[in-house]
Amino acid sequence: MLSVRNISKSYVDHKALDNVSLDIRKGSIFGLLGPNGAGKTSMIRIINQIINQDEGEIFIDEKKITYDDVRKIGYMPEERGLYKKMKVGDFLLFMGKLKGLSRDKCIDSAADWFENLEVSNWWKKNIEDLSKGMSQKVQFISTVIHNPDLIILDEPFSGFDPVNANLVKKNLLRLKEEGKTIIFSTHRLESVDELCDHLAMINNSKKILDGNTDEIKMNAKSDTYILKHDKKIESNDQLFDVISQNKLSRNVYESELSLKKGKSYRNMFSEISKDIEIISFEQKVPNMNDIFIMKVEEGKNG
Amino acid sequence: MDKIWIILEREYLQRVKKKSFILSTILTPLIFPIFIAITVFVLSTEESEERVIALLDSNNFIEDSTKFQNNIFLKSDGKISDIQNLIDDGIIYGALEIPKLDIYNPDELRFYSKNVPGGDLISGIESLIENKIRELKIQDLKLNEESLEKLRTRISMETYSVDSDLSSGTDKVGVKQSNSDVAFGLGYFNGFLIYMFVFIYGSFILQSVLDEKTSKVVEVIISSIKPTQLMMGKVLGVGAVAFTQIFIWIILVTSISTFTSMYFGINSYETTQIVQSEEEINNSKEVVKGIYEMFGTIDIKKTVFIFLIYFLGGFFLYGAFFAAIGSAVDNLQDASQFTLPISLPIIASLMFMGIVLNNPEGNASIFLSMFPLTSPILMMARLAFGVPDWHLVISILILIISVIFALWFAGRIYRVGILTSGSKITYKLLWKWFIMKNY
Repeated sequence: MLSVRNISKSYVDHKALDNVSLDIRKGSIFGLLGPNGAGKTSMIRIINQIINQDEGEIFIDEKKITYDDVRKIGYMPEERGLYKKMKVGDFLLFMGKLKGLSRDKCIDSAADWFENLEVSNWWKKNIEDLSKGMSQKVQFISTVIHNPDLIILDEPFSGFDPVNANLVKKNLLRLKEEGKTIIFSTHRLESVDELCDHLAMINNSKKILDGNTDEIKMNAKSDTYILKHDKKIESNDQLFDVISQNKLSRNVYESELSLKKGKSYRNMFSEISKDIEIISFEQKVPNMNDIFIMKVEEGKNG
Repeated sequence: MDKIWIILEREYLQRVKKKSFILSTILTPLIFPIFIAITVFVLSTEESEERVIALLDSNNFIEDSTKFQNNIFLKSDGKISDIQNLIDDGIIYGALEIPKLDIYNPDELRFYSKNVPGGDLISGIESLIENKIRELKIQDLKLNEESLEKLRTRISMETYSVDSDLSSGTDKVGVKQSNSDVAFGLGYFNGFLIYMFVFIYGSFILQSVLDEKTSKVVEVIISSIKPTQLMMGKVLGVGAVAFTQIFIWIILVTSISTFTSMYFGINSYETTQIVQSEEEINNSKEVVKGIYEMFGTIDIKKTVFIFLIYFLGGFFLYGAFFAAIGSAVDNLQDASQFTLPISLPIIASLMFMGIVLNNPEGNASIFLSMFPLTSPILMMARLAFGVPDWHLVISILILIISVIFALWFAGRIYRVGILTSGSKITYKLLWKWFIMKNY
């Protein structure tokens, strides 16, 4: 649906993006990850044509993106706020009108979203009387009020309390089911696993990782296994090393084993099970944080 | 364009619905009449205690116990040093010392008081003595009072401006009565009004842009509208508010003045005047008459039309700069270092107003009424004296071109500034933003 090709962007004093390409498929949730200052916000602002790239192009459905396309995007920036002196309804009407919505459609859509986000109808409330969580919900509603096909959220969960964050996650998944495409950025890498189908990582203005979430995890897995068993295991020079071993209770040990290069875990398995009872057996899959740190380290060494 | 309208509409409605706007719009035109009424009231009810002034008069110019303003002259034979002590102790207010003098060369008249006396008192006493000396001279020279009175001549020249536009025929030129006092007053009033509006509404724009930046609502909006459109909508919106206010004021002032002149007529002038002399009353009567006649003959439609052009032109010119400043800085404190250079030409315009009003056709006045940063205020100052049409056309053209340039300039700063926070803003940085190709 959205294709970002070879984008570069420099500011007065530093380079924000260096030849970054992304491909986002229709009906998927795409996570743009990276630490603060990596260039995520610049990328999102470029897609939204809030700032212009120095080089590279952006295509939407194989056509160069136009200003009308941008207007249809539901965009929630990282730097977000509301007009304090307005009423919720006036603000939503204002945002809806800017997105080309008629008054009636605005009102209907807002009513639906009030229901989705489990709040009563706040149409007549003053924005300055809203609590922080409430105003974030209003912010989210103003982003999706025009029922956009492409939704871009910059750090959507920052500032949300866990309950509201979950509510938004639930709604994002529902929107995905409806065929919407969602891009979001976050520096909190642990929050992506359950949400993203695809992800890309940006660090120091460069893309360092890109792909299907599960594949990335599989590729990043090390040949490390966690076993629970009843007797002590000794390292095997041919097959594996014991990294750690803890006694959990009488006759239950937990060990982390590292398989030697080129060896199969089947051999390790049968070797151990000759005289030891294996209770459970699990390959250690790294979380996004581990993968990210690994990738950054790789980048430094390379 | 429809999006600029949405921004404009929001900005306009938010401001117009505010209580402060409604109050200031309705109350401000009343402030001046109320202020005048209060002054008149205070002056007419002023009844301070009678003050004693010791009179050391060697010529008997002034009689004992003469009351003057709220003072009473009491003859004294004491020594001046004793009297000075009395003044210092606050027992009497002051002392007037008139030594024996030659009426053809009076000098060494002295007035003593603890505090510096008011100008009214001094000039009053002076004219009191002058009149007395005049009487003495008449006697001395054996002149006839009646003949002297006949010698006095008072003329009052009527000034007319010549203008072909006023004639109904084609060859003749028409004339209309003019009054330079009224032109002066009108010029000052119009210039000052524009000055005030540019300042107040310019800072509204700055505030509004800054609010959007600090409340972080701006990025949400510019995902659906270009920054320059947002800026335009905002400047136009605030401009529309200013326009509304001035429009209501024009209506209010017109109806108030019609109302007052209907009720009190010219008579009201006499009762509120602090009566001083017959002559001055006649003088002021003439001025008032002049004002009424002047407003009858002045081309009000043209004045209002041109006023609105300069009003909007000046507003947009300075408004653009204020918008650029608001976008660049992070808070009001930082804004002040940039608003100062912008405010200078506005303040200077007010200072130059004296030059323009006293010599509306001088080279300096012509230049200042063409130069876009001063023309909104100073062309309005010139206007009441009569300005050739081609001056107006050139001045307005220059202003329009400058407004377009200023909006373009401000837009380039705005698009970067509105998304940049936390950096120290310098003129160098603003220039970099301005020349930046892609942002």
